[in-house]
Amino acid sequence: MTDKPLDAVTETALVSAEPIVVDPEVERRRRRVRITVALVILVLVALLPFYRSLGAYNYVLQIGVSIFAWIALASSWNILGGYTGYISLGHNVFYGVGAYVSALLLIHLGISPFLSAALAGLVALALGLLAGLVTFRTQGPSFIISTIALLFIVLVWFDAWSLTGGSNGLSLPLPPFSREWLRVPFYYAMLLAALAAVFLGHRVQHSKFGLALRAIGADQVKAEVAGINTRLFKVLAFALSAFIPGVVGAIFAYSISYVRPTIFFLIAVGARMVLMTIIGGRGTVAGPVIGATLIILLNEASLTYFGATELNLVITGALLVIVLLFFPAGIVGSLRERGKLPAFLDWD
Amino acid sequence: MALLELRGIRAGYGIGPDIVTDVSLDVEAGRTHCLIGPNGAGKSTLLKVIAGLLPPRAGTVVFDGQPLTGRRPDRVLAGGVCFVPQDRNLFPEMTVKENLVMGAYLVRDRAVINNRMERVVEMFPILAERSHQVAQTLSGGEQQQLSLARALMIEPKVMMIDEPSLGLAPQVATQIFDVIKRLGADMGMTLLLVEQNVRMGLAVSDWSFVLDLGSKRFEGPADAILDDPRIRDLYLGRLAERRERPT
Amino acid sequence: MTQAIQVVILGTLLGGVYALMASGLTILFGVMRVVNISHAAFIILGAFFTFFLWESTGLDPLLGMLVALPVFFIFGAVLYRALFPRVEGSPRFSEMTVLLTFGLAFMTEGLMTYFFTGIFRQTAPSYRVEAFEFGSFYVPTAQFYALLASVVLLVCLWAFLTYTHTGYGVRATMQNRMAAQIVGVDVRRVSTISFGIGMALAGAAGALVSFLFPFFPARHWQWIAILLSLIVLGGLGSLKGAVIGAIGLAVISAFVSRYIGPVWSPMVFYGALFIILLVRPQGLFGHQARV
Repeated sequence: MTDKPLDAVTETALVSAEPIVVDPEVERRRRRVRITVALVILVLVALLPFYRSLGAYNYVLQIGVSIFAWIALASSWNILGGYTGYISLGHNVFYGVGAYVSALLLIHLGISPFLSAALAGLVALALGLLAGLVTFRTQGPSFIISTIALLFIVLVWFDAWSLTGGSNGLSLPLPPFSREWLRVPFYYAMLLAALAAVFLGHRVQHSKFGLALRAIGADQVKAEVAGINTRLFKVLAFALSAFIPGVVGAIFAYSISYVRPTIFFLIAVGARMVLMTIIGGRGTVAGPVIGATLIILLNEASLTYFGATELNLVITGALLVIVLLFFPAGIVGSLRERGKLPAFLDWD
Repeated sequence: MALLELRGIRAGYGIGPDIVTDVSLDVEAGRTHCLIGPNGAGKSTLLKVIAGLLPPRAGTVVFDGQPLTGRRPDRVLAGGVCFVPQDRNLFPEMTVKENLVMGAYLVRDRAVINNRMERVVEMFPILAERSHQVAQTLSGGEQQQLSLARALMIEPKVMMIDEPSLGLAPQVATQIFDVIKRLGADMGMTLLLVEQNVRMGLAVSDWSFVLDLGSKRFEGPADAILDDPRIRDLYLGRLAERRERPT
Repeated sequence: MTQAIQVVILGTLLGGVYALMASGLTILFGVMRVVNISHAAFIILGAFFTFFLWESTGLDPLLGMLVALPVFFIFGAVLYRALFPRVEGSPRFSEMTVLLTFGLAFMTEGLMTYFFTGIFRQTAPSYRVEAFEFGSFYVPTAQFYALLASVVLLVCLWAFLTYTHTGYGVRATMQNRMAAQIVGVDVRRVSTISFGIGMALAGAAGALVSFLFPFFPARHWQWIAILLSLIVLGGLGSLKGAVIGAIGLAVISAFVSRYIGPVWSPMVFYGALFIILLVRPQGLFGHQARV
C-alpha cells in the first residue's frame, strides 16, 4: 500500500500552483486566440435568436436554454467540488429552492422571476451557508452523504408541504410574452446566468480565494497548518456555489411554468451536474462548460435516436464510471496533462 | 552472502520526489544493525520498501538468495522478513491475546500457535497479565511490547523495527532496548533497526549504517561509529565547528 | 399504551431488515473503505432475482434468499475485481468510490428499468397477508420471518468474523489495514471476499424486500439515502453502530409514521444524521480520525 500517492486532479492542481516558466510570446498568442474564439462564439450565440428562419426554431432555442442552464449549474458546482474536492451530490437542492422561492413570489406577490431570480439565488446562498456550517463538521464520504441527506430532507418536506403544493407542485402564471418570442427572453436570461457563472468560476480560479480552496483540496491539514481558515473557506465556497443554481432554478421554473419536487429534487439532477464537471475537468474553468455542452448534446442525440430514458440512465452511469477509472482529470485535465490543451480551452 | 542484500534502491511516494536515492547494504545473519541519520534521510521509507509496502522505483532486494523486490507484504512475511512499523499498528479493538494470534496469521496449526504464544509471553510477562485487555487501552510501552511480541509469533528470520523507542518515556525505552538486545544477543535474531535515539540504538547493535538525503553515507561497527567525526558533521553540520572557534 | 408497544414491535421488525441492509454497506466500508451508493440498487436487483425465481418456479422467497446468497457473493467478488483495484492507491479513495458506485447505481437502475420496466412487483407467498396474534398485539407473519432471516444471517456473519481464520483477517483489515498486511493477511483476497459478502447480504435483503414491499427499480434511492444516513450515524465502519442505529431509528420512525404521518418517517433518518453531525460527527461508534 503506498503512502499518499497523488491522483491526477491533485497533481494538476499542484502543478498549476507552481510558478510555470513560459515563453511570454507564446502566452500572449494563446491569450489572443482564446479571447477571440470566446468572443466569436459569444456573438454567434447572442445573435442566434435573430435568425428566425432557422428550422425548428423553438427547439434550438430550448436546447440553448438547457445548455446555458447546465453550464451555469456545473460551473457553480465546480467552485466547491472542483477545487476543494468536497463532492456535493445533493447540490440541486439549491436549484430547487431557488425555483420554489421565485415561484411563490410570482404566485403570491406577482413578482416576475426575472426580477426575483437574484433574491432566489440569495436564499439559496443562505441555505448553503447554514447547511455548510453543519455538513463541514465532516469530510470525505460523510460529507457527501450529508449533502444527499439535505436534498432528501427538502424533497420529503416540499413533497408534504401545502405551501409548496405538495407532490403536485405549483402551476405558474404564463410569462407575458407573445408565443413567437416566448423562448427568447429565457434564452438571454439563461445565457447571462451562464456567463455569470463562468465569470465567477474564472475569478475564483485566479484569486487567492481559489488558491486557498485548491490548497484545501490538495491537503487540508497542511492548509490549516499554513494558516488558512479551512472551515470558513469551505463554507464560503459552498454558499457561493449555491447562488447561481438558485438563480437558474428561478428562471427555469418560469420557463416551464411549473414547479414540482420531482423536477428539481431528484438525485439524478444533482448527479448530472457532477458528471458534467468531472467529464469536462474538475478544477478548471473550461471543464464544466465543455462537460455541460457535451452531455446535453449527447442527451438530445440519444433521445432522438433511442427514445428511451432508461438508456439515458445507463449511459450517464457508464460515462461516469469510465471517466473516473480512465480519465479522472476530465477532458480539459487530460489534455493539459498530455500538453495538448488547445488555447481556447485554456482559461486557468 | 549476506542474509538480506539491498542494491541500488530508489524509492518515493506516489509521483513525489525520490526519498531514497541510492541505497545498497548488506544485512548479516545473526547481527543487529542500526540505521541512523537525520530526519528525512529515508530510513523508514527503506524499511517499507523491504517490507513490500512501497514498491521501489529501482534496485533489488534479495533475501537468502531469493529476490524479494516489490513482493506483496504478506509474501515478504511468509519469506521470513517481518516489519514492526513506527506507530504501534496494533489491532485496536482486539485483545492482547487476539493480537498475538493475529501475529501468527500465516500459521494454521493451533497447537503451534499456542506454543509460541507461551514462549513469547515469557519474554513479555506484562502481556500475560493483560492478556484479555483490549489493545487500545494499553500504555505506550505495553503497546510497543505487544508489537514486538506479535512480530515474534511468526518466528521471523529477520526483524525490521522502525523507531522502537518513539514516544516512550526513557525508562520504558530502556526496557524495550533490553528486549531488543536479548533478541539479538540471546536468541541470535537478525535485526534491522531504525532509531532516532542514536546512543541507545547503537548500544544494542553490532553494525551501523548512516543514511542522509536518501543514500548511505558510510557504515561501520556500532561501538566505533559514534567516535567517527563524520557523524558529528552529519548531525550538527558546521555548527560544531563554529562552536569550537573562539568568538 | 398498547398502540405504542405495537408500534415498537412493527418498528423493530423493520429495523431488523434495515440492519441487514446496513451491515452489508458497513462491511464494504470497514474493510475496503468503499462507500457503495449502489447498494440499494443491488438490493432491488436481489428482489427481482427472487421475484422471477418465484414467478417461474414458485420457489418461496425465503428459499430464494438461500439461492441469492451464493449468486450475489460471486457477483460481488467479480465486480470488485473488475472495478476497484484500479483506483486503490488514490488518496481520495473513499470519495472516488462514492462517485464510482453512484455511476454504478444509475447503470443498474437503468438496466433494470429497461429489462423489467417500472411496474411495481411483489412476491406473494402465503404468509404475506397473515399475522400472529398475541393478545392485543399482532405481528405480521411476513415481517416476522424477515426479521428471523435477518437475525440468522447477522448471527452467521458475526460467527464468521469471530471464529473463522478468514473472518479474523476481515476484522483485522477493518481495524488496521496496514497492520493486517504486515501480519500476513492477503488484503486483496480479504477485500474480494468482503465485497462478495456485502453483495450477498444485499441480495438476501432483496429477497426479503421482495415480499415486504412493492418494489420497482427507482425505489433504491429512498433506501440508499436512509441507509447512508444510518451508517454515518452509527459510525462509518462500525457494525455495532449500523445494527443499533437501524433498529433504534426504525422504531422512532415507526412512531413518527403512526403519530405524525407516514410521509415524514424518512425524515427521522435524515434529521438524526444532521443532529449527530452537530453533536458527534464521527457517529455513535465511530473513530475520531476516520472519515
